[in-house]
Amino acid sequence: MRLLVFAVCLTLVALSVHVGDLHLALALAGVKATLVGLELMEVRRAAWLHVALFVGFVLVLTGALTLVA
Amino acid sequence: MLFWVVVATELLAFGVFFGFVAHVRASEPEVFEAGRALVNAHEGLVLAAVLLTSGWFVAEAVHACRRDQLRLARVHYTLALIAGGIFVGLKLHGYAALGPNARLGVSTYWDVFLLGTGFHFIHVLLGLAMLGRTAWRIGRRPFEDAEGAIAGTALFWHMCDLAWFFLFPLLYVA
Repeated sequence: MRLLVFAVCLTLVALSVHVGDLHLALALAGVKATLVGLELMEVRRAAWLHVALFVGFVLVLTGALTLVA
Repeated sequence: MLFWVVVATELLAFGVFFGFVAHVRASEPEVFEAGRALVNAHEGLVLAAVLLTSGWFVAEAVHACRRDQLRLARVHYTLALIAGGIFVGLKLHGYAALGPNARLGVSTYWDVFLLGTGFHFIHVLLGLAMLGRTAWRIGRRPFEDAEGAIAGTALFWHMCDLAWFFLFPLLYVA
């Protein structure tokens, strides 16, 4: 699972440059942050409130940056 | 728990800065684009890939420690350190290649670029020092709280990863 997350994130990093669109790149950054947080940082094993806080923070940050930029 | 508080605080600080960069980008598009055109997006891509690879090695090291495979954990930590060192080398090379006009006070783009990547760079150096110390101690000197020390160091390193995920599109992508 960790290897899969790593491979997916690596693909998304490459995609964000090749697409060349800031809003899409920010959305992909949000996806990468969520995947790395849940799997590599092991947030998914934490209490549901912590999981919700982390995912909520990434969603709000990604949404705010996409709207402002 | 302490590491989570540190990481959450750092992520909030980075988040506020990202918001500022996004605001500058939207309010001064011409100035921002003129600066951004001088940086290589592929350099940012390689930096992100190197940091992500390092983060994966660290995650593997944590799991190897839990399985009591200390030798394997040290190998993974060493590989993470090498990848982190490559990030530092590439970033320093990138700074050197920017040219004389890329300095604070020249344009808003260079202000946010140098402050943002500089702040992140300091965290990477700190993370590398923590990784090096943890890697050296594994199997040599027992930790008072092994899980806290090993997973905590990994958390800090992943935080550097997360920060770069957002810094990269904001500063490098058109």
